[in-house]
Amino acid sequence: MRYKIARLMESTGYFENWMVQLRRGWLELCVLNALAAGERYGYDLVQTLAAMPGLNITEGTIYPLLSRLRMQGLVATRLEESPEGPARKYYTLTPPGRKALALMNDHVELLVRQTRRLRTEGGSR
Amino acid sequence: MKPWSDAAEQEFARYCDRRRTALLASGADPDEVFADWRSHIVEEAVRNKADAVAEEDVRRLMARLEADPPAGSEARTFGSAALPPPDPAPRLLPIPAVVVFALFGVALPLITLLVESLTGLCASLLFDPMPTLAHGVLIALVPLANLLALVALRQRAWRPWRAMLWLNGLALGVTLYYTLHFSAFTPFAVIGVLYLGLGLLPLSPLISLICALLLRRSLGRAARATAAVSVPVWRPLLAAFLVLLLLALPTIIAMTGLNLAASEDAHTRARGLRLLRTVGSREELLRASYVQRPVTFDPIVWLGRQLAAEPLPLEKIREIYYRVTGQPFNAVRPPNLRGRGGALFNADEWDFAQSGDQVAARLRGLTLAQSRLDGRVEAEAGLAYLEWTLVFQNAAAVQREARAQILLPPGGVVSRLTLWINGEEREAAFSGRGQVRQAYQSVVQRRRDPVLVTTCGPDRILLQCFPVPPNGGTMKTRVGITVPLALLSSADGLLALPRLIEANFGLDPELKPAIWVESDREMVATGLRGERVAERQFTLRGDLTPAALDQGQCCTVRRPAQATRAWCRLERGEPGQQVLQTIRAVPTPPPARIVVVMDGSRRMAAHARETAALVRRLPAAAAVDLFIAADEVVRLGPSGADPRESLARQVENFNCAGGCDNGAALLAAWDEAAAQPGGVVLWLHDTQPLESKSTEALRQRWERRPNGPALYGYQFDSGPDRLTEKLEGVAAFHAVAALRGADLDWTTLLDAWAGRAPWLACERRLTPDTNGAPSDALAASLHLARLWAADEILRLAGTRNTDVRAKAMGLACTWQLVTPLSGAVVLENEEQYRQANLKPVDPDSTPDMVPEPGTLALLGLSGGLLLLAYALPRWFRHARHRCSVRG
Repeated sequence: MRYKIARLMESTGYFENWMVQLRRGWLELCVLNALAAGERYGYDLVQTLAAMPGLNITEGTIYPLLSRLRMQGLVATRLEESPEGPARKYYTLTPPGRKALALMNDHVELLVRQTRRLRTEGGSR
Repeated sequence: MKPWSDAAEQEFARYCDRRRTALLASGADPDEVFADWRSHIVEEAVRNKADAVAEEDVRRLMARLEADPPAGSEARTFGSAALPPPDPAPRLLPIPAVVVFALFGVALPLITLLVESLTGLCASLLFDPMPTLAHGVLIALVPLANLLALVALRQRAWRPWRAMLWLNGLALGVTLYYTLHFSAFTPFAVIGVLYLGLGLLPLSPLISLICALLLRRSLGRAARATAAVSVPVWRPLLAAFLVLLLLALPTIIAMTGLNLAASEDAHTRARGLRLLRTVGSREELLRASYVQRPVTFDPIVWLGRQLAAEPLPLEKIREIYYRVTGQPFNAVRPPNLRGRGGALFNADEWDFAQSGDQVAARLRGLTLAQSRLDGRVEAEAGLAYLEWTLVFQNAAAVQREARAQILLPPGGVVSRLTLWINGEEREAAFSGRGQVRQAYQSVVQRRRDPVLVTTCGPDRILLQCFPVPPNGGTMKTRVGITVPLALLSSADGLLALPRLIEANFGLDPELKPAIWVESDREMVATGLRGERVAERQFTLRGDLTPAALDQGQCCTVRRPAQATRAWCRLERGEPGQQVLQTIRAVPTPPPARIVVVMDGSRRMAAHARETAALVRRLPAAAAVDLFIAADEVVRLGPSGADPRESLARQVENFNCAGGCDNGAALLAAWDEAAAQPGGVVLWLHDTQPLESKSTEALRQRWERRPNGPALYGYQFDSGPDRLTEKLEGVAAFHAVAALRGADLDWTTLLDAWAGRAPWLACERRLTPDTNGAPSDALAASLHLARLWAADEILRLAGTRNTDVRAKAMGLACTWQLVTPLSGAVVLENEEQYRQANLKPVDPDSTPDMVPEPGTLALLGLSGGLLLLAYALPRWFRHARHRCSVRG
């Protein structure tokens, strides 16, 4: 039965669409969380996020997102010369970025909690 | 850095081009993302240990970069990102909106600016919206900001958002300011547009404000969407307000300074004067001197006024103007009042001083268009008669009264007044000054043609003419003045010309004051041509400089040194009398103490050296004290071996500032000089346009002690002198005429004190008519009798006895003289004279440039006597010879 449902979802693209919807905003949260511990080198950050299972994104989606976050003032960048390759761009959270991240994490926690409760209690009080 | 092949570069560039629009729409910076990709590719190449980046590498890596999540979502497109942009991508501004904005946000303010700049339409009617160039630049910012905003909203490629938002904010501030400025007229303009189709220009600020607001909304959206840029609107608004505040600062400083300077507290007053002298705008002060509280539509100035104290009276503001600048407010060209209110609100269009006894403010458009001075000098008798013809012109749209205070030559008296009415000469009526003024005011109220002359101080008259017709109309009048020559020595006389010391009109730029003086002796004057026409007939003629009408000019007249006595028969008044004039040296002992009072006003800085030189020349035997009339009276202390030199140096180094009332210093000087017999006060000053608070105290000192210290006053520059005016009748006051520069003007007195030259004085007295010339006396014209009458009237006017004063009045009317008791008025017709109970003088009895009948008779008599003196001895000799022959 479960298999059938999975096949049904795959054939109609329902799950994919739902994933796209979910990914909206989630990636931004991941990027900000990845920078919460400290500054990250851009290439390294992209590799880490691209390799993250379940997120299902490529490097191509991350660079424009980083640019936008920078223009919105949530992250800051600095360049550092590298002896091996091109100058490395390091990303770090700005104070507004930290505030935004804290709000987003709280909200996600709330949503997850409420979703679990729905699953376990069926929404009944 | 790994090198890139050309093909790789081209492939990458093509790829970037394809993705640019999508990236832009996502809210990312495409160039930054391209740089990141490029770094990413190179990093991959380094890790793969490739020697260079080839086209294949780019394709491979790009394909991987672009390897999207499973199909079926909008996130497939590379660069559109899995996340939506913060705002939907803005659409281009539609063409109809662009046209509307271009018309009302760009074209309308631009046209308004051009129309106002070229025609001054608003400035001439309501108020000047652009009093400075900076205001014009700010207004020009509005169409510019709106235009650039339109371009930015139509061109995707050009988006300096931050600058655009700032510019738009500034334009908002400017339009808001001008909308408030015009708010009083907005309802009328709306009605005008709705019903007449006119009045769009006054609505321009409001319409521009609406356009700027709408454009800001679009700009803000676009900036946030595409570049995540926003500028809070209060920042440019605050900047615009600060700029406008800066432009209004001179007005605000003037308001603040005036209120401080008018304070009753001395310290606050001094602070206000200091503020105005240091940073105050003269233009603003002058403007305030003309309009007490001009109507203002400037919201910033209006706000400043609400915070300021009560408005000050005009007289107070004019006083402060003098205290700050050292110059009377009406000595300079009137300000352009359109800067703070147009014709409808300009108080200067109304002459509140009309028919009063003050010259008051200068009137725009009223000028002295022509001036002509005719004179006849009787060198031997030491007198002259001058006729000054003045033609006033009025360019304004309303009738004007021309008023001027004229400084007569020392000892001069007005003996004729003529007005041209419809091209005909009308002579004046001479009567009591109250009666003639009343007649004048009555006729002025009926807006007919009178002219009035009254005295207003020693050797000063006030001339008033009304109406000078509007729109270029002219009015012509003539004042005849009988003048005694100032005797430099027994062989040299000085004829000073009358001058304007205060006027409510300006001088026409093309004015050429003509002068023509005739004499029986040679005359010399700078800039004038001296001619000898015939035996004992000399002419001095030419054009005076316009400045000479203000600053004065004099002519030196050569005269026979032995001519010390002159006479004329008294043809009017008391019969059987004649006037005998004797020139004689008057003893002038040097003073024991000289107290110098120097005016500390700003304009005296130019005369500090002359003053110091005079201090050095004072008689060595006299003790010298020096007071300076500054904001406070300053007494200079002599020091060192040479006290005079030390005083002179202190005078030279004194910091003259503002305008100062000299009254308090004169009081201190009188007290000092009166402390011992033989003291005199020398008062060296500039113009004194204010009523001194010490006038009565000064008069009291000299009235209670007539033999107290003599006061010698010397005014360096021409201008009103209210203090001297109030000293009329004080016998101890002597005005030293400023004719040839301080050095020469004081020489006569200083030489007399030092005993180097005699002090010559003319004594005129009445003697019984002996039916012939007194011995050694030369025949003079009736002007000699007029001068005697003027002296006599001044003497009699000093008493309080009503009969004596009535006699003096009678004398003034008999001899047709303007004196402290009498005035002259010309009215338009007989009816007006009858209503005023006045009678115009007989034209045959007035003096003229041709010798008067009395003079002709005297000349004939003298000629006959000379002939007899020549012929009789011969006749007797012949007769005796004939008798002896017969005998």
